[in-house]
Amino acid sequence: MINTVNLSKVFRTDEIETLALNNVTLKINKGEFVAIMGPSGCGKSTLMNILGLLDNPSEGQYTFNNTEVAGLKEGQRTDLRKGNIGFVFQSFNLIDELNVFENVEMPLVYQRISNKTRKEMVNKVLERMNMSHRAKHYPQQLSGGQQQRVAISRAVVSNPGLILADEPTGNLDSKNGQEVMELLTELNREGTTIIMVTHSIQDAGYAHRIINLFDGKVVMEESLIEDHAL
Amino acid sequence: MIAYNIKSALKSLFSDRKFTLINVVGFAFAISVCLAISLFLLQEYSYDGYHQNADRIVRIIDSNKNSSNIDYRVKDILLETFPEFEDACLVQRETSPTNINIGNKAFRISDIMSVDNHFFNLFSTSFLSGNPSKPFENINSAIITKSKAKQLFGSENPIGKEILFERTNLLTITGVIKDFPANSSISAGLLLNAENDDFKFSFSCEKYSDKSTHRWEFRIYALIGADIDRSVLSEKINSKLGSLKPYINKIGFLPIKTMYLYDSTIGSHSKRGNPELLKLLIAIAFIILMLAVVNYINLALAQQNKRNKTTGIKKSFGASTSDLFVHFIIESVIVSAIAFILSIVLVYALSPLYTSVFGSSINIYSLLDTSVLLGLLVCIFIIGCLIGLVPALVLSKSNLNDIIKKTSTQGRNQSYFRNALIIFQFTVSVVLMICLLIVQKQISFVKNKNPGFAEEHLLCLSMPYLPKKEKSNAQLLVSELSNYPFFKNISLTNGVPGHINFTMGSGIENTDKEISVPCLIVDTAFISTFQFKIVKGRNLEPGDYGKVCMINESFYNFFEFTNLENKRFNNYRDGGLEIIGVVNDFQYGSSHNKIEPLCILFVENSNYYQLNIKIAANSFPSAIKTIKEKWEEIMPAYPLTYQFFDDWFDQMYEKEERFAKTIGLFALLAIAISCFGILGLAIFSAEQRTKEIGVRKVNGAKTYEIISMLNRGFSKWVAIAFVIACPIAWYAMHKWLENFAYKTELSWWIFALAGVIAMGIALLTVSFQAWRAATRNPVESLRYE
Repeated sequence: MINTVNLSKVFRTDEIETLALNNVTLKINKGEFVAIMGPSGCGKSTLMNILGLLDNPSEGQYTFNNTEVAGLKEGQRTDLRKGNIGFVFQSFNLIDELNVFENVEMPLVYQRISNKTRKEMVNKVLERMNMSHRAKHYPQQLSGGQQQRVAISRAVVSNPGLILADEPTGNLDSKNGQEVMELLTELNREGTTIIMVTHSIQDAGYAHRIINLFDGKVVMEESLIEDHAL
Repeated sequence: MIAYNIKSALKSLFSDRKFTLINVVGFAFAISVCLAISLFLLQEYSYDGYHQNADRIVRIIDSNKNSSNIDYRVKDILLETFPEFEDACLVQRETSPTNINIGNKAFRISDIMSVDNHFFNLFSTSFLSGNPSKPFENINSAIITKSKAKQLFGSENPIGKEILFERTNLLTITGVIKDFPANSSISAGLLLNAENDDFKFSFSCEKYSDKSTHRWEFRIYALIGADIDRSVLSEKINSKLGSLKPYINKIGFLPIKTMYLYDSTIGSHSKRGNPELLKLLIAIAFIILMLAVVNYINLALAQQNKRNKTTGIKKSFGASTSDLFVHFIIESVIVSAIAFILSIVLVYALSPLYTSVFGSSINIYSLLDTSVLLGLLVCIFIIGCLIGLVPALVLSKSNLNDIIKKTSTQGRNQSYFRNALIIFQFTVSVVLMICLLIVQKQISFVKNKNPGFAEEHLLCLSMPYLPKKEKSNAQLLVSELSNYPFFKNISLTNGVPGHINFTMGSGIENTDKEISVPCLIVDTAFISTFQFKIVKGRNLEPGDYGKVCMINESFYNFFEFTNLENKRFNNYRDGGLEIIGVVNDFQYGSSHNKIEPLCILFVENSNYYQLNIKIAANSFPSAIKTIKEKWEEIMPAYPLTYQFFDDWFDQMYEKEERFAKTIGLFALLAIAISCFGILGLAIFSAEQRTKEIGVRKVNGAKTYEIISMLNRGFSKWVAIAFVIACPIAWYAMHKWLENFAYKTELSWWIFALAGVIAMGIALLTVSFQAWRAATRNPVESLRYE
């Protein structure tokens, strides 16, 4: 599903040049659950943005679903993202002025899905996430765990093949965090590819594979499938 | 998608309601100014367009003399000689108030017009009763408008009623027409038949001895056949002028649709608009609208960081740049729509203000016209797009990567842009404020300028036109009033300074200079009543009647006199009048003009139109009571009207006062709108710098230090705006003052005062927000981050 060869990303300001990613080569297969770990500033988020087609690499190749996407224009990346990639953020990133239903509905609107179909799809996912009773509530009225469940609903409502989760449990207590992780695992079991950035060893334990980044380079990859099998 | 966009735009407007409110209110004020000005412009540009044949009706003018005064005989000559004219009519206004008696009731009316039967063919008038094909049955028929009929006859049917005109002509009402609309430059309440020689009101001749130049002046309007080229027609007429001479030298046409705004002829006698004022108003509407647009753009851009989060989320879930662009445009169109609705309410609520600024009443129902409504909708959309364009372009294009990383994308360039917009707003405000102060200063300067005579305690009675047998009543009234000690001086005149309607040719011997000179016809008490100074020669004496005159200093200097020996005025008429004295130059016209030559004539038994009475101080109640009693006794057939001279004199400055009022109102609005903007930015800047303020306070900053920190930016912009505004205002006011012969100085303190006021208002607006931000508990402000 995802293939990168020698991906690099350089950030430039007037005085400083920062190499955020340095020749990253990765292969992630459909249906995999991958955790990306590493200390602050190692380039995790930059990698996520590039994998999620939010940003272009400075150098290197990136094929997403067999399409070369490095160097695509923003409009093209947007079209490719629509319906294919869902995002879950550490700080939930729900839109404050929209209620739960409207937040989840939002990606479908931009896919020009009809009002009626949208309603059905949103209700279905909210039911699954156990959030139907909160549909009319606004983000400020929900607990952190509930907010993240809404965010996950939004990420999966259009049935994307890939979910990118950037520290999804970072703002949650352990009980809510565990719930979120179980939700992601369940989605993965149903066939969704998941790439997750995390600081937590415990969360990383839910993944099939851990990629360790340091100073923009992949320093270690370990597979956990056997452990899970045990 | 549109429905979704509208819903989500409404939601985000509501969630930012503080800024939405500031935007909407600022806009509503700006749009209500534009609406009011548009309503006024609609009216001004629609003048005389309502006549069915408006496109083909012209006024005949003498283009050599640039005059609309044409002898009535020209009408028949044109119609007989040139088949290109389908019809033509005569129109003449009576310029002075006229006495009307109905039974034993007396009226004094001033909206009388003398026309012929053709008038009703050319101009669209609707008859309520009477015979529209021949409204005047004979030369003593009169037509009356509905409201005039109500004034004169109450609820009675006016048809067949009799009116005694100037106590000489008995007229019969034969028709009632609807009132002339407000946008008609030709209008009257009572229409008399011009076929009657008594109603050919104006007579003139170039040379008294040359009978061939006698003229009965009228305005002549003609209906030109369809598809006739006017320039060809006028050339054709001018090549055959022989038949028209001596009545006209060179013919020209003035289309009636343009005559209200662009008539520059002498003696047009119709209402005239002021195209300069219209231009000024268009400029003001545009500037005020720009101020509000600037507010919107500024506030929208200021909120960019706040909005970037939402934009970023939407983008990461598939919203394209164009989706977001449409969203922002819809948001601004909604703001514009709400502002429009509010502004219609504002215009309606402030209609008394409209009347005092524009001098005409507002017709809010003209907004309900389908085409106007459609126009409004288009305006809502266009203005919405206009204000939303810059923010939509900037906000929808924000870099996704930055959004996700929550870093600021507001570059230096953009904050320069925003500061430039604020400077623009304050420049406009300061310019308007300086203009306002200078206009006020000039008006008080000309009003308080010594006019050259004593205008205090002077009462002016309007005298009626008296038929021959009653003429002596005027003198009788004077001698009766002279018996009372509180009437210090009493003088009969045919005009007063500020209101002189009589001119004569100078006719001075041994000079090439020939001018027409404004003349006052007075009695012996004139000089003492107005307390003029006699600079040379002597005062008028009873034996001088009909033989002598006095001149002012300008006259003396203009003709380069060195003495008064053998100097005669208006020589071509029986040797003219001996000049016996020179009075000081006094202000008899507006301060727009320099004091020009003037002549004071002495004519026995003339028609006097004013009785000027100098009243002893503190005796007004008894003086006025006595005047009323004596008037009732001597001239019961005429209504008494009087006015204090100084009030009347000041009416010359009505136009300037209105100008000052207009500028004042718009200056206030401009400042208010700018303050709305700066208030929004102050709220925003205090919010945005919450963390900085917290950190500074934790590190020991005092409240006043925080306030002055937040104020510093804004005061810098006001200072820059002031520097830009000064030369602009100086130039504009310098130009405006050129209209006056007597002008006030452009003092430096006015500029300084305007600067101080602008700075004060800006600081007050910002300081309140700054104070709130600065007194917040730092722990609280840091926790928010």
